Formats: sequence, C-alpha cells, structure tokens
Amino acid sequence: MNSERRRSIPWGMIWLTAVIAYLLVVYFGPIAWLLRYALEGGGGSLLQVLGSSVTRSILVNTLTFAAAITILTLLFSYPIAYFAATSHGRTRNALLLVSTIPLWTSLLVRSVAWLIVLARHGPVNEILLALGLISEPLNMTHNTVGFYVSSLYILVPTMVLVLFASMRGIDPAHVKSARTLGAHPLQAFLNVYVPLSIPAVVSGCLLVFIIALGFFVTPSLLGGPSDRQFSMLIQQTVDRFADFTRGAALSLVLLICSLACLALFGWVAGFNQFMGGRYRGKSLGSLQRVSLKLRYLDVPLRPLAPVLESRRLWLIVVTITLVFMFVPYIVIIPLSFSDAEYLEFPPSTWSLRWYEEIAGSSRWLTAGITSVVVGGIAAAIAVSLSFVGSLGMRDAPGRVSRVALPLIIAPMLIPSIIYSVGAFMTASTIGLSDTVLGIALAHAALALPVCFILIATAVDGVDPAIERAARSLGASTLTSTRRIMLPLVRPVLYVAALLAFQTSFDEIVVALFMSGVQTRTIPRLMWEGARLEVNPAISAVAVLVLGAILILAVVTGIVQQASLWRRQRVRVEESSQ
Amino acid sequence: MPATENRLYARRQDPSAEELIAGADRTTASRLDIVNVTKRFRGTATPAVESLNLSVESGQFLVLLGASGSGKTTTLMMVAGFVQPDDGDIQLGSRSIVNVPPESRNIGVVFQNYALFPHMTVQENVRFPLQMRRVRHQDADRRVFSILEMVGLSGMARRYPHQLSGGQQQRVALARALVFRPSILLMDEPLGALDRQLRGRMQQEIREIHREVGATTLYVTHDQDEALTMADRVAVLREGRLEQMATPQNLFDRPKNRFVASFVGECNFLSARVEGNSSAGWDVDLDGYRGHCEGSGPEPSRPATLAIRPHVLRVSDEGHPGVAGAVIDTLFVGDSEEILVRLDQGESVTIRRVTGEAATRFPPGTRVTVSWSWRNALVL
Repeated sequence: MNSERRRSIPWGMIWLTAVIAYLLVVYFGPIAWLLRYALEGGGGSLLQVLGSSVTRSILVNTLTFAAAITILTLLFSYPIAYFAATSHGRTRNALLLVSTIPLWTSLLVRSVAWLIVLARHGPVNEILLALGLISEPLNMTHNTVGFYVSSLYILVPTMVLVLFASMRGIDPAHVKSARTLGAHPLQAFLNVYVPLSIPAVVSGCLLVFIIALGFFVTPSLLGGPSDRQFSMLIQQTVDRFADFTRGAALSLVLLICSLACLALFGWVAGFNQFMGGRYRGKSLGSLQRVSLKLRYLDVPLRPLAPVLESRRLWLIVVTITLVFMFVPYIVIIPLSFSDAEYLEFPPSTWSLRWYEEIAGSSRWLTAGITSVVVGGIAAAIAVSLSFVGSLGMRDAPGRVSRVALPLIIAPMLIPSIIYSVGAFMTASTIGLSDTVLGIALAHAALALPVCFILIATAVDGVDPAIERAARSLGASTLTSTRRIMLPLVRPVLYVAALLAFQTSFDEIVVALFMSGVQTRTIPRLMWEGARLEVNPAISAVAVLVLGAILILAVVTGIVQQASLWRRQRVRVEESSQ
Repeated sequence: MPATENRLYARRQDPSAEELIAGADRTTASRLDIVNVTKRFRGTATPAVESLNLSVESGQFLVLLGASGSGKTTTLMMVAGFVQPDDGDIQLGSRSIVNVPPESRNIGVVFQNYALFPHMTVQENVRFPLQMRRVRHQDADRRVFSILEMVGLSGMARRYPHQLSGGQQQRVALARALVFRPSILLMDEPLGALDRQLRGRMQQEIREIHREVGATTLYVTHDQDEALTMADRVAVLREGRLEQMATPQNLFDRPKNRFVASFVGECNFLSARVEGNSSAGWDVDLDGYRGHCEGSGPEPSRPATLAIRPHVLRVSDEGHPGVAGAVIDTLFVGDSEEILVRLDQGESVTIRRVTGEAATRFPPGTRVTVSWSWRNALVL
C-alpha cells in the first residue's frame, strides 16, 4: 500500500542548486571561457608559454616567494597563536583582535600604507636617520624588502586564525602530564605540543601558500623588478599587450598550480575545516612522527632553556609582532592630516586640506557612490545565496556536500587574477563590462565563500530539534525558516553582509579589469593614485575607506546587540516590579 | 486589527481550528496505531525499527522503554513525521498519516532538550502553534493564559527561555505542545536533563496534567523507574523490536523473557530443571529445592531459567529448607541492604531486605540457606 511515498518539496536541494548554478554561471563560466583560448589550436600557446624562459623564471620566482613567505609567516604566527590558545578571557581576545585587525582593512589600503611607511621619505627612514643609524635614506619600496615586509603583514592574520582554531582544541592536560612524567617545559613543548599542533601547521601553511601564489596587489605596488609575480605577468599580457591567447595560457598554468595545492589541502586537511569541522587526519600521523624528531632540538637548546622558557621573553616577541600589526595605522592616520605637499612624518603642520580636496573632487565622490552601490548589491546577493545555500548544505547528503563545499569556497582560493581576466572577457562579450551590475555580480561571487562559511556555521549551530518543534506545532518548512531560522541567525547575517560589502568595497583586481570609464570604484582610483605618486592624499583616502568600514562595523554591532538589549530590558522590567 | 481583516481571518480558519476553540476544555484525543513498521537507515546493518506493531488507546499514557539505540526515538520521530518509515503504516484515529507532513499531523511533541525558540518569550512560544492555525487573537490570548496557568507559569509569560530554570523550560515545552489540543502528545526523554529530585516532581506533574487533559500520550524514556511510575502501559523495545507490552505491574511481575526481567528492575537468574507441568504452572527443581511456579513455555526435563527478584528471596541460617550457600558480602543501600550469596551449586544471588528488619547479621563466610515463595518466582 505504501509503494509510493509522497516526498515533500526538497527545498534544501533546490536552494543549494541555485547557489551552485550562480557560481557556475558567474564564476566558473568566465574561467572556462578564458581557458578556452588557451586550448585553441591544440594548446600551441600553452607549449609556447611553457617554452619561454621568462615565463619559467617568473614561475620559479613565484613558487620560491610563496614558499619563503609561508615559512616566515609561520614563524611569526606560531608564538601569537600559541599564546592566544594557552591564555584565557581578555588576554586571549585582545591577542586575537589585535593580530587579526589587518583583516578588517583592504589589501589595497594595507599595501598602500606600507608603501607610505617604507617610502624614501617615509617614517621608517626618518626615524633611522634621526637616530643616526643611517646617513642616507634606505630604498625599501619597489624592491624585495618592501615586498616581503608587507606580504608578511598581510598573511600573518590568516595563519594566526588557522593555527589558533586548532590549537584551542589541544588539551592542556597533555602538556601537564608530560611534566609530571619528568619533562622540562621545553621538552614537553617539543614532544607533546608541537606534534599535536602539526595538523594546524600543515593546513595553515598550505592555505598561506595558495594565497601567496596568487599575490598581485602587493607585488605590483611594493615589489621591485626581481619580484615580478605570475599574476602580474598575466595582467601585463592581457592589459598592456592585449594578448588574450597567451594570457589564457598563463592563467591555465597558474590555475593548475593552485588547484594542485588545493587538492593537496583537501586531501590533507579537508575542506570541512572551513566549517569548523574536524581534521580528517589523513597522512598526518606520519607527519606528526616526523615532527617528533624536533625533540632532539632539546639537547642543543638546553643551555638556552631558562631564556626560552621565560614567558616574559615570548611576551616581548609577541608584543613586537603586535606592534608590527599596528604600524600602518599609526602612520597613515596622522599623515592624512598633514599640510605638506609631500610625505612628511610626523607632519610639521596639520590641516584638513587633503580631505577637502577629496570632498571637492567629483571623481572621488562619483567613485564613492559607485563603490557603495556595487558593494550593496554584492552583499545582498552574497548573503541571500549563502543563507539559502547553508540551509541546503545542512540537509544535503554527505556526497553532495563533499562536492558542493569546495565549489563554494573556490573563489576565495583561486587567484583572483584568473577570474578577473575571465570575467572581463565574458562581460565584454555580453555587454556587462564597465557596468555596476557586472562588477556587483562578480564581487558577489568573490564574497560568497566568506559569507557562506560564517552563515553555514551559524545555521549548523541551530539545534535541528528547534525547527522540528516548529514543524510539529504546525509551521510549514518555509514558515519555520522565516519565523525560526532567520531570526536565530540574523545577527550573523549582518556580520556576513558587512564582510561582503567590505570585500567588494576594497576589491581591486576585478575592478582593475571591469571598471573603466563609466564605473570607477574607489579602489580603482586609489590604485591609479598609488601607482602615480605617493602623497598624503592617498593616505586620506585610505583613512576614509578605513573609517567607512569601521562605522559600518560599529553600526552592525549595534544592530546585532539590539535584540539582546531588548531581552535584557525585559529582565530589568521584571526585576524592578 | 481592522474589522475586515478580522473577518478574513475568521473565514480562513479551517474547521478543525474552529472546533478547537469551541471545546477549549474538551480533548480531541485519538487512538494511535503503528502497524508493521520497519525503518532501516542507510549504511546500517540492522534496521532501527523492525516490524513494529504498537497501539495506544485514546487517552492512554504509553511509555516506550528501551536502551539507547533500541529504536524508541526513531519510532517517535516516525509518528511525528520527521522520519519516513520504509514499510508499514501509522494511523491516527484510524486514518493513515504516513504521507501527511509534520505540520499537518496535529501532534504535540516535547523534545529532549525542549527545543524552545530562544528568540521568543514564553508567551510567544506557546502562542506559536495557535498563530500557525490562525486562531483569533482573543481566543489565542485566553488559551495561552489558561495553559500557562495550568503548568504554573502565568507569571513568567514575558520571560525568555534562557531566563527560566530547567523545570520551568520543561513546563513551557509541555504547554506549547498541549495548547493546540493535539490529537496525541509525544514526549522524547523530556526529563533527561533534570536532576533527580526535580525529575520525581515533574513525573507527578506530567501525570496530573495528563489526567486533566486526557491526551493520548506516547512517552519515550530509558529510565525503567520512570516508565513504571508514569505509564498506563509500557512497551519494551530492543534492537528495533517490541519485546513486551504490558501494564507496569504485569511487566514487573510477569516479564516475558530474560531481557525484560533484567531490564525492568533487578533480577536473579538461576538454572533449574523443569520436572513437568500441572495446573497452570510448572514443577521446578533447583538443586533439590522443589516448587510449583508460573512461567512461559519451558520444556519439561530440560534445563530452564528461574527468575526471582532480589526482594523475593529470603535468607536464613543453615538447615532451613532452601538452597545452601555462603555469604560473600553485605552492601548497605540506605533503606535496604543487599546480601550477596554464592550458592553451593555455583551461581550467585542478590537478596534485598529492609534494613533493621531482621536482627541477624551475616558476616562474610557465614553458611546460610536461601529460599523464596514459589508464587513470586517465574520460570522462563
């Protein structure tokens, strides 16, 4: 009698399909469109590209840089993450907040800030000159020094977050029990703590390596001729020489490198970890065994043990790192109030002239409006897609989510230069290039991963029994989503919207290709300014962008708190009765 | 609300909702039949529920008792509509509901951790099912008020769930599941999160509320004391199958098999020999101690198991009729004590007796005789 069981409408699958469809059309479509050129005529251009010694040397350059900066970032981040993971309450929060503060500013603003900090007449040179340590200003921009310093600054927060997320789960009892078994603090650290943190180290390094592979903004602004990165080569080929076939072939090479790393990441760490999932731990056992060899460091380090074991030493190290995180802000904010025509730190006279100049410039105002509109549309698309996609992902069977999750996260990890070139070419064909809608659609795809991770984690955190309760009380699936799920995750939706807006508001690579005469965004203008001449005007814009994001963050925080306040008020009223 | 909109609301009300309001104190309790239901989850070897047949009479309080993994929650979720049975039928008031979505089943569910909506006040939580049924405002207000009165929470209406104690949250969940006069009430280990003392009080309260509203109730628990205290009838589940369904008294006194006997209350099992059967019972011999007792289907002249509850056993000095053995230890359990005796035939038994009742103490090693009234023994 029950040969046919009626199934209710599978909303989850429909929604998840919608999200994947969006990405296929708006994100993967353009990339495929681009790669089509690379394979035209039997892939001759690909062979040509690989045969070029210039290409090969830049590829080697890029890989070397990525490897080196990954190791440097790890060395910088491990102590901070360790301290954050082993401390509690306010100390932990402060450490995390400060070390991730750069994440709240755009890549462009951060790079521009370092451009100013390290400039020939910038604060670092001024201070060194004043101290008499050097007699002539050092060249620190447009060479390897500036490139590495700013890259480090940009990558540390990501590494700290990945390391911390996993180190937090290391039970302090392990180290304690090693101590009771006769290990020195140093021995306990090397024998127990380090091996346990290896999974985090591996996934953090892979992630940073993948990001470094696609670096474009920082090397363009701060690097020297020897620091040319593969992304820059692609941009020049397409932008300056208009050689799409060659650009496509180069993109394919970079894409293959990134996908190989991504596959390795998926295999070793698992994409689940973006969703707060557990490590799959595959093949990490052997890595942990190798890391145990580090315990032999104990012997040569033993004489230094009293120094190494002093928490004070590490507090100093961590403090220096954290100050490093603040340097750009300490510099660009005062600089923007300077009255001088050129960089001067600290400014001798103060004024608002640069702000007045920007406020009076129709170019900047128009760009501001464009950026806000683009960011608003992008945030709306990214947040709604993420919300419905999260609902779908939660109900999806394992094999579906194993395929869907990497697809959704890909825009965060595939070098944006590849997508930008593809998006530009596709959009030109269908007339969306240089339009607000075109840029917004592309930005929404780029903002989707972060939004999705945030919202899906929140949705997963809601007890399924709560929705079941709503159903049993008479609410349909849609009603229960609207009346129960939506209000419960609404605070997270605000944060996600803010992040999406920020992603778009700061985005330069897509904007570089897609925005032109009609629609210039603020980053686009900043980029042009920073390439032409570094003067206080650009720092004023950077401060304004920073301020805009900060104000939005505060507003978001207030809106988020509002519901909590409402609850609190009820409590107060009742207790006063 | 403007009058036009009011009319609109009234018109949109389905007859069942109208009926619900009319008989505010009348129950719409229905009979529940689970007919030959099987559910197998993908990737598991054994079915979660296998060929289950179960009926709950209208107004009855049935407890589903089983260890974790016995399929009791799966059964509950199938009745609620969150799990689709592979085979079989579920009928509510003799109408099949397997193809009815959860929101249309009119079933009240109290979830394990209550599943109160954290962003709604107590009042909003309880009003939610009435809103879903488009009950008119004034009627909804009245019913929310009276049900909160009944569970003793009328002062807490404007609190949020996190501002309530565990017991209060439990009562809100109950009120929310009852306010729309469901055809049947399902409860999934509702007292699991409460401490022992509170649990006892809530057991009584739930019984009282059940008596008051008379709802057909299906209650899931792994706690056998809770099952015996609360149920009109208890259904014992093991590995997805129904082991026995009986009144608490019968379940305790006449367990059908060894599993039920040991799961519901403590029990001693002794190997005995069945000599033959006479009028309504069996002649049993245990190491020379003979008697006549009831039981279910052993074969004569074959080894059988004798099940005897610890409180039925008596211990006395050596030489009395019974089975001989030596005391191993005596455990003090508050109002009673447990004497562990190793019988000469090799098996051990636990005897429970009220503390201080018998003056004789049996230090470890004392030779004793264990005996029992055959009326209270059972051969399996």
